[in-house]
Amino acid sequence: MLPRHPTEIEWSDSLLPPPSPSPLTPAVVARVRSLFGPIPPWIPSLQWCPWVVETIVDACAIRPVHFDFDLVALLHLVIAQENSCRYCYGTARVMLQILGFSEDAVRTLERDMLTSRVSPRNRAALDYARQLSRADPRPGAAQARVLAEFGFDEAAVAELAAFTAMWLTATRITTLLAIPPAADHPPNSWWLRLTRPILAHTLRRQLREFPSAVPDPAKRITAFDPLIATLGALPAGASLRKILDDAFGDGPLPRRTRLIVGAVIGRALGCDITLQLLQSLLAADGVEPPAVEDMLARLDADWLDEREHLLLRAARDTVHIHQPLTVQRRMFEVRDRLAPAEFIDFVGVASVANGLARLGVLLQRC
Amino acid sequence: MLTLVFAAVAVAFGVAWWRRVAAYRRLSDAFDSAAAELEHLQRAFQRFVPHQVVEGIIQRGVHTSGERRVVTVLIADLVGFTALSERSEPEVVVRLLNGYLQAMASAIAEHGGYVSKFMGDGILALFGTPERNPWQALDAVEAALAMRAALARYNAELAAAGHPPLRIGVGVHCGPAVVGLLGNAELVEYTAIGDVVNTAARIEGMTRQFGVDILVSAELRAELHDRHPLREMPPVEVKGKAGALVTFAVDPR
Repeated sequence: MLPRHPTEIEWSDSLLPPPSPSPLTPAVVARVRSLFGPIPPWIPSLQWCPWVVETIVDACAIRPVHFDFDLVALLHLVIAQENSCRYCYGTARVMLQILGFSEDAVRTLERDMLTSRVSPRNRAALDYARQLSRADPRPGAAQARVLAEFGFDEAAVAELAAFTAMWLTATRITTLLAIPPAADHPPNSWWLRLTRPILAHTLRRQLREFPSAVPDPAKRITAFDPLIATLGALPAGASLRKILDDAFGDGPLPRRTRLIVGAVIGRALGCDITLQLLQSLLAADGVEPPAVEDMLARLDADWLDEREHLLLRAARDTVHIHQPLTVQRRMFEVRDRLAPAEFIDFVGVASVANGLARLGVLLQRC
Repeated sequence: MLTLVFAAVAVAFGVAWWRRVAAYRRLSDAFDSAAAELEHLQRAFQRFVPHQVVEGIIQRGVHTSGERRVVTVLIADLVGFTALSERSEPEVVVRLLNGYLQAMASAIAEHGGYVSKFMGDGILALFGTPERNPWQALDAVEAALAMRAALARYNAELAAAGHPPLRIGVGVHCGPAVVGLLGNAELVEYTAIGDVVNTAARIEGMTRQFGVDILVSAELRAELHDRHPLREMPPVEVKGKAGALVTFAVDPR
């Protein structure tokens, strides 16, 4: 059953490691500030892996081309609710209120997202996003046809899928780290109501003018090219490119370990595209497809090191999150057995792989 | 005079507006109350069917139809429970049974299984539904091992209270089945139907014959990829089956 309010979601104590001693680059600080305003208190704990901080920004601040900001805000709410992310659910409610939804309207949305005051076009998009987020059963041609009836062409569907996948990535990071919720009860004071039009205008302008992600050509993983190509020149494509290159290149965890985590999530979600992509990368790292297949079938292999054994199981737990508390309790064991940078890296990679596997499912049209 | 008319009209409008607001509030409160009650019912209903199924019922109503998919079925039964029931007070039996079922259901849920039904002292659990799970066979065996461990802990509690230990038989098999809301207009349940269920029940029955607690089928063994130490048992001819049934005991690790 979906939560009707952020406070209905059981949330563990924070899993954040202590703050990292190394600061973020001024460019990243500027992007974080333009998304959040003041730097959120949990950002320093993520600085062990600057790419994870950048992934949150790149996943949340994408300029939509084929739909409006109201749908973006609703998507945020749906994905947060679907994935029981208390932190993101709270922020999505605040965003909706700033955009002009009253507390009653937000409650109505929560009570029945698909029959309340949402236009049929947005309702179709939200239904699609819900199904993609669940990935069981996967949205296919029939669902794409429904969207087409409401004017979503192929590029718009791809953009919708990319937004869904990247929002899901962000919610996974905040859920797996049990980031303390900041906005369970958003302020609803007279001054907020009075200044709401200005705030809404500012928020819309901020999102409209938010600079696109700039992927580093040196990090480019060409195996992802066909996937990125489906997004054409959309800002979402640049974000996805940067996020994937960062997650599956070199990092605090060895590349092989990162790819294994991704492959487990791809198999759990039955996404052949993700598996093929990651298997080709693993082959380049010296792990041949039959060995990967055997490891995925048994969820074990003799050639895995101790850390990979641990992360293999943990990766599985990140796929479907109905009760965050259960997963978060398991994450404590992972956190306690890894260095802070490795733990944040694992959370980032698993979250990106969850988004990738859903997006791959869409592109596979399966 | 005009002022009086204006005042009377204003009062009339005020009263009408106030009554309208009051009526709206009453309706709104009644709606909130009904919605809260419905949510309460939905949550209670989740104890009987998976939450995905509850959502489907809310959106589309109750449709007793199933979907064909490969599932792993785990059937567990208490050995010698009838004898225990005969020599104990019913209240004691119920207390022992509730404690046992709670311990077993937790072990099953911990490994991704769904308890479809309790049948007296028996349990029917499904893996690979309602969410697909490529590791359903592994999970089912892990659940069976967790049940063995949980029963050992529960038996320690029973021994401390002066009760004899309980013993279980667990049969695990995988194969295609029809899963979904099945039943008639009066009574529906989320379960699986197919030969896989009957075979799992027969395998569970064979645990008594071999004097072991966990038996899995040859089909399930193929899915385990040597992850667990298994011991092959002699084949058994089973009524209604073309060939002999080959099973494997799951030894402690």
